[in-house]
Amino acid sequence: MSEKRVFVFVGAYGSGKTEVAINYALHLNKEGKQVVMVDLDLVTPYFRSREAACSLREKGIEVLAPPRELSRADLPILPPGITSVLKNKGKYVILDVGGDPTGARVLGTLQGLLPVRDLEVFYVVNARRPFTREVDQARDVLERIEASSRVKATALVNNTHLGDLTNPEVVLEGGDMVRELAMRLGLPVKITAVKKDLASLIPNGHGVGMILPLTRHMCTPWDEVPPDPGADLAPVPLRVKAPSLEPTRD
Amino acid sequence: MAETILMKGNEAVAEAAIRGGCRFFFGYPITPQSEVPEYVSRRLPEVGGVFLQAESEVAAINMVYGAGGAGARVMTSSSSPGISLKQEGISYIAGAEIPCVIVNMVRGGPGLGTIQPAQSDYFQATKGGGHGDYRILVFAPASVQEMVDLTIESFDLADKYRNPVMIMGDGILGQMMEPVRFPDGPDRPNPEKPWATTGKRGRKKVNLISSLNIEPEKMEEHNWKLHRKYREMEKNEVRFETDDVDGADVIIVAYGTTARVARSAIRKAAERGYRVGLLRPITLWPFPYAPLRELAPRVKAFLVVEMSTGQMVDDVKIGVEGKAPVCFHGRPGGMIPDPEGIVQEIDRIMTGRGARA
Repeated sequence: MSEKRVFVFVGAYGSGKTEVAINYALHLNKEGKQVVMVDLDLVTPYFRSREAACSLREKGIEVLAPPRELSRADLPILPPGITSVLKNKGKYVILDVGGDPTGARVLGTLQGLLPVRDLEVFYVVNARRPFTREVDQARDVLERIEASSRVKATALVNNTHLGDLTNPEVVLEGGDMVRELAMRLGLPVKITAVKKDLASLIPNGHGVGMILPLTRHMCTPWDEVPPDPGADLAPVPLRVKAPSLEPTRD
Repeated sequence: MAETILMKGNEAVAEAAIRGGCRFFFGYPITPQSEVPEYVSRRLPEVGGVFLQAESEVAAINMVYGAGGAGARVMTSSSSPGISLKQEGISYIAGAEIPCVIVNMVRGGPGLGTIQPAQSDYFQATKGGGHGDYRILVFAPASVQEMVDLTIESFDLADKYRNPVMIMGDGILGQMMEPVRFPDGPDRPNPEKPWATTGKRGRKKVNLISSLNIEPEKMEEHNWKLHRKYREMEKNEVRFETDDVDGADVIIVAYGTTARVARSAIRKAAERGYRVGLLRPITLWPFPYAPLRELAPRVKAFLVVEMSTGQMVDDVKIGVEGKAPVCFHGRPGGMIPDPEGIVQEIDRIMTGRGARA
């Protein structure tokens, strides 16, 4: 899968793009690749990849995010340096995009900079989220994301989960929906993302793709994550920022 | 039972409103609650309802007055600075006895403050907010599921007392995702409202709703009537939850997000041999004074934990009636107390170094 160099994660609001993108960045990092993580989320106020920036940098992953003093401003700030990393053929770039068509609109500004041949655009789907529970709904959301971002999805990610209540059945049922969506769209399912402790319980098979074990990074202040010696990095307690493209109080 | 789904607190409040029979929403976006209007703007048209983004919070709350006065089930939502703007309208609504539901996903203040979570609107919600002698029922959910359950019920209670009900969360509760279930069956019905301003409908006299009473004798009479209603709400609607209070040396009093952090702290404190309980107010008004009065003689101290410099402390002191020390641990301005900080405070209390609030 890593013949591609630029990976874009789009999806409905709250579909888990950030967790999947961070874990995918760590996966590429483990393969010894030079990875750059770009926080392109201009719409979500809390739980964004910039919250994990310190830990990612410790691993040697470059993080492009708004400058620290503005990272919690309620302003849509594009991080500097995107153009140069997209042009640098030695770097693997992850673009973590905001949710829904509104969040994906920013991708349109990068049109022309995205290397068409090296590009993978992952549509992340959680079949237990309110507006992507059925194939038709999920397809409608993607169509609207593609229209506002002017970028087409090239692969699907099944990220179906229920937080602490996730079990293998939840992941597999979601997988059925995502597979059917994939067939209708004529796209492959390339990743099934699943909590690390459940990853071994998900069978490989047609329409599952790579099983990406997830270590959770976006946590609430009271989350008690059991010590995991194999954890890629410590969970980052929530800290924040935000905007909407509509008129709003700052 | 319906399928479990994963929702943000803001989305859950919005869906729960619809399940509670809400068909009208008027609001204005503000972080960290903008998912509420966004969600209802998608869903309300599907159920024949109306979503309207007003030109300001002031306009929105007066639209709530109009819709509620016409007998509709109606909601607005905002976050701290926006709720301040709505206060005049809330006072009018309380005075005119119009049912409605108001959501406040609190952020750090004062002023424009920060978009980070806070609990510094406690005074505003429970001690007045707007002008005049009035009270509103204030719910403080601590999970996304509780946000669903209380929001659905809020519409029934608003109608029962013809009074505003507030759901008070904070940025974290609004933004975090948890699995939730919604009850099966149809949305809650909107009851007959013979007082609503919907035309004469064969009656001899037209219904009139107003908060204006020029004659002081009538205004006084109306104030006493409201007062009796508030006493009735105090009698019937106090809600709280206790964990491990029997045999506890220290009882933490915390609501919403801080109650969640407190639970983690209590587990850590137990590992160090401290017996700590939790009293979690679910209604902030009316406040659960009675359980505090009852527990006070049995504990070494109470520890109030808030995301503010200490606003609920006063109510805890009223409940405790001086029978036990009341200590405080808080993080204001958008910071969140961490379990370790609370455990350290417990340690200070247990070694006689606790700071009295």
